[in-house]
Amino acid sequence: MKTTLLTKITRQLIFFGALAAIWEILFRLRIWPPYIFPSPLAVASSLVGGFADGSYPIGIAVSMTRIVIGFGIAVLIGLPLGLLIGRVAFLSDTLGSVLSGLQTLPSICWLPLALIWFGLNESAILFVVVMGAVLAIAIAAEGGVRNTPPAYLRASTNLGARGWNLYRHVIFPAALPSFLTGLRLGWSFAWRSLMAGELIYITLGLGQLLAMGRDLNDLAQVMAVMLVIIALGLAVDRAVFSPLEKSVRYKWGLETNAR
Amino acid sequence: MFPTVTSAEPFTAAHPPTLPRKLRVDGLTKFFRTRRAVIHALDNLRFEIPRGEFLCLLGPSGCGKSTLLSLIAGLDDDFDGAIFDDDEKIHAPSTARVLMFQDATLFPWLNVIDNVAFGLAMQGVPKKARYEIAEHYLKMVHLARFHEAAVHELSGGMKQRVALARALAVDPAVLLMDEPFAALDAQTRDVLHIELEEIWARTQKTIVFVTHNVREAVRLGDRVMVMSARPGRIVSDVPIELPRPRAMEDFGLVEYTRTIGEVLRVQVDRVRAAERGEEA
Ligand SMILES: Nc1ncnc2c1ncn2[C@@H]1O[C@H](COP(=O)(O)OP(=O)(O)OP(=O)(O)O)[C@@H](O)[C@H]1O
Ligand SMILES: [Mg+2]
Repeated sequence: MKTTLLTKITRQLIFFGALAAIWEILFRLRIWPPYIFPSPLAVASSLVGGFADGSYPIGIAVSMTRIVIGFGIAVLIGLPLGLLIGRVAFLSDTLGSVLSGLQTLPSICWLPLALIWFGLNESAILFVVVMGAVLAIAIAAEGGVRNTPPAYLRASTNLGARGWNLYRHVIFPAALPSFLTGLRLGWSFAWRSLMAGELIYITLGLGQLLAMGRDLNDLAQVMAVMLVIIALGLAVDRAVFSPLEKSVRYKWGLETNAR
Repeated sequence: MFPTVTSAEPFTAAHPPTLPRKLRVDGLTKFFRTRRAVIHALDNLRFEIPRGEFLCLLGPSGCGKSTLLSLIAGLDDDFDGAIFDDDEKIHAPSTARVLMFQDATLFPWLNVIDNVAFGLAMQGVPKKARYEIAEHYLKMVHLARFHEAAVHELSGGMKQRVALARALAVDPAVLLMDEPFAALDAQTRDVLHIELEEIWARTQKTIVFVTHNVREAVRLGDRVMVMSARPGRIVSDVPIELPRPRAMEDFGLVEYTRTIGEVLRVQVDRVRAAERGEEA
């Protein structure tokens, strides 16, 4: 059965409306005091207030700038690194295993190191963001170039592709779906690392707004900022990475349905 | 009446006319070693394909036809025995022997014209020249209107025709075709038979053509070989002495189809029996 966009939106409206209603009812029952369990209206007014007094837009701008820079650096390092590791056996045996080992480390664990290396400044938090994304990107790129469908290799070598041509015209493009998966994963890791970093080590940004809410015991603010963080993470994924990945996978014949 | 190719073969410096080649398969044996089993795919094949011959290959599914083609193409050098292209031992792929795969394998990141021009691009032919040549072959397979199309927008049969154009574009001396027209409707197939026969007559390419369709084999081949169930051996080797152009309904063609069909059926039945035995 196929659901149209309209029925999907209606369903979501009903669902979230019901969720808010239950929340409001729970609030009115006064099971918990308001400073532990704020009402949805209080959260909404925090949200509106935060946008009106400019603190949220500034927080969003600062966090987005950081993640764009950090993610950009991670892509510039991660992609070439993954490509190299994927095709050079020596690097894959050595550096490759280091990367998979490091990937198990939550990237916020790099913060103490970063603070000592870079001091209490912007570089430290960027470092944590880069470390969050770079491994996922490199590992996905490595998998992509390592697992070129043999049929493409056979067809292209038969038609005379050798050496660098083979990489440029076959192995890299064939790996594009994996690259995109890596970028998407990398972005979400970077986002998490950034929020964690901003929470712990405070200078502007959405994470700081969250920490401020806690310090002021203002749970409505905390929840409002959480909503903003969720919405932003979701929006970037839905607007940029998901559609890109899907359309490439479809064109590459890896998915039968565009939607 | 019959669609014909209008312009002559486009020759450029990078695109000189190729001379036909003779192929010789000498004691060819192939094993696939997988983790679970050793599969004996080809067993001591020995035959020659004269220059410019159109050879059709029949055999039950899984008997090693695709394997044989990819060995002749030089895509796999792990085999016993030897294959000679004229007097040169085959050990690596070359644009002199191009294999058209059973499943087209077009490159989805390139549009139709760039797929056709791929081999020429790899040889360093400049863009304008290679597009000219590619257009020529696209026209030949009746897809000129689709040169900008993306691969995923093509039907199965269209993909096969693009793959044919892509193979022809590097002007190989030997064309290896693995069930190229299996996905096509009868009308398109008839047209492409005529086209292929004409390209072959004009360029004198050596063609090895794998098919499951006995009548198609007899329609096209100077000679039809039937392979046995695995491990593949040659069980029948029949010259087709019918004048060209041939039509699918010709009496002589139907006769050949009947006799060769009998030979093939015995092999197919053997495969069926073996499968039933495994299930029991
Ligand atoms: N890469 C491989 N690894 C292991 N076994 C293989 C491999 N390729 C082919 N085989 C086996 O070799 C045998 C011959 O395969 P091949 O593809 O040449 O058959 P075919 O005659 O082309 O069949 P079809 O008519 O169905 O295309 C089969 O039993 C197959 O399972
Ligand atoms: Mg086959």
